[in-house]
Amino acid sequence: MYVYILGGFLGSGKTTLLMKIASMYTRRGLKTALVVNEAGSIGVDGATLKAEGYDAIELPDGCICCSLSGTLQAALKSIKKDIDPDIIIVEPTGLALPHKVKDLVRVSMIDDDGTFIIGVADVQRFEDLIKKKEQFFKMQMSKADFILINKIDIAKPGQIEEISDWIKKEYPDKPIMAISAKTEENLDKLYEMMQ
Amino acid sequence: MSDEPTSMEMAGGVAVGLHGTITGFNADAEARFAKAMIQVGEWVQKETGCLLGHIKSAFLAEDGSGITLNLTDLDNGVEHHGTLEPQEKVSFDFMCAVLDVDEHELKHRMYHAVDDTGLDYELDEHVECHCHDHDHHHDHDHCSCGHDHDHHHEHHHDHDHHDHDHCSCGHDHEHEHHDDGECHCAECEANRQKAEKPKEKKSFFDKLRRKKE
Repeated sequence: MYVYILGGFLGSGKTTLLMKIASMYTRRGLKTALVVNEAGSIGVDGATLKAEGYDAIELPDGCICCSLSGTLQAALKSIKKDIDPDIIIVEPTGLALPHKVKDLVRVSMIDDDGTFIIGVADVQRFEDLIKKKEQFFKMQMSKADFILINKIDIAKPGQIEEISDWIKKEYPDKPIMAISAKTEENLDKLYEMMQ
Repeated sequence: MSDEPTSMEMAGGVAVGLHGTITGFNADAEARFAKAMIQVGEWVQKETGCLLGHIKSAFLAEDGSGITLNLTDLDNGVEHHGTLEPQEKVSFDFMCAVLDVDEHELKHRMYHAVDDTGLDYELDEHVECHCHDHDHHHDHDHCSCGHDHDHHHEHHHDHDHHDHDHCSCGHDHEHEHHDDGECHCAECEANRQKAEKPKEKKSFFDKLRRKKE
């Protein structure tokens, strides 16, 4: 069983990506469990997933990397026991630190074969995010196994290269890929990188 | 409990949710709610310079089917996921997770954005709001000051008026009307008297008196 954690800021397209990855695994005939976390007391992502035909375990009202850490561990254990999936995809809130989630997966003793962090950066608001919350963004991406530059379908000329250069400079060892979860551009390349 | 700040605190993020029901849900209601989300998004953008975060809502029918609306960028507008036939009643969730704004003010803005849709809605929780001390607040059709403007939007939504330093209705007066929900400047008093006169003429006793005469 492999666990994927989608890390990235609010509105970076994690839920859309989650749906695409889940569909890909379903097409491959693998049993996939989805865990979505939202900071607010009201969870909307679960409803979005349901509206699009996916079932997910919702963990609202807090952050699974800190305030809901125990809830996450309990949920993972239940998933392992009740569903025993081939893949678990975890989408923390956009205000979570994915490496903390990875640590929690490790100590949950769910006997996983590997846990990976997919960092998601958003073309559209990259500049604003770096301007306002550079440190936080860096913390989110710091332990990512690979980084995706999402929403390239709405990128302005030169924007992808600019962001890519910035990420390469910060994280020279991490693979970077420009994708559009919405239009599915380059998602096949992402799927090749996944287990 | 650890004293270490949560990731949300580190990011300066706030997350606020409202839950309730809407009676009479259809495409028009969906569009109105999308407008409410944009209204909140515009406020966040005005406050912080950019909308970093997301504003979401979900509408669920009794059978569990539903749609969701998602706003992450004002230029792109609200994304709609799924379809929902017109419903007599739906439950709704309205959620905002954004940065660098006051949590209570955000909730207040969200509440007013929902209220401004004109939809027949009910919230599960009471939202504390000073604006509600005003009689005319709950009824957005009229305003006791008698001015030709969107009065509830101006002096209810503008929190400056709680300082009693100034009133956005533009009159040159002390802002006493917050104590009793009415404005007592000369212009407003004159307008109120003018507005009250026709009511007297229409009273039952007046009609009776006129008949006797």
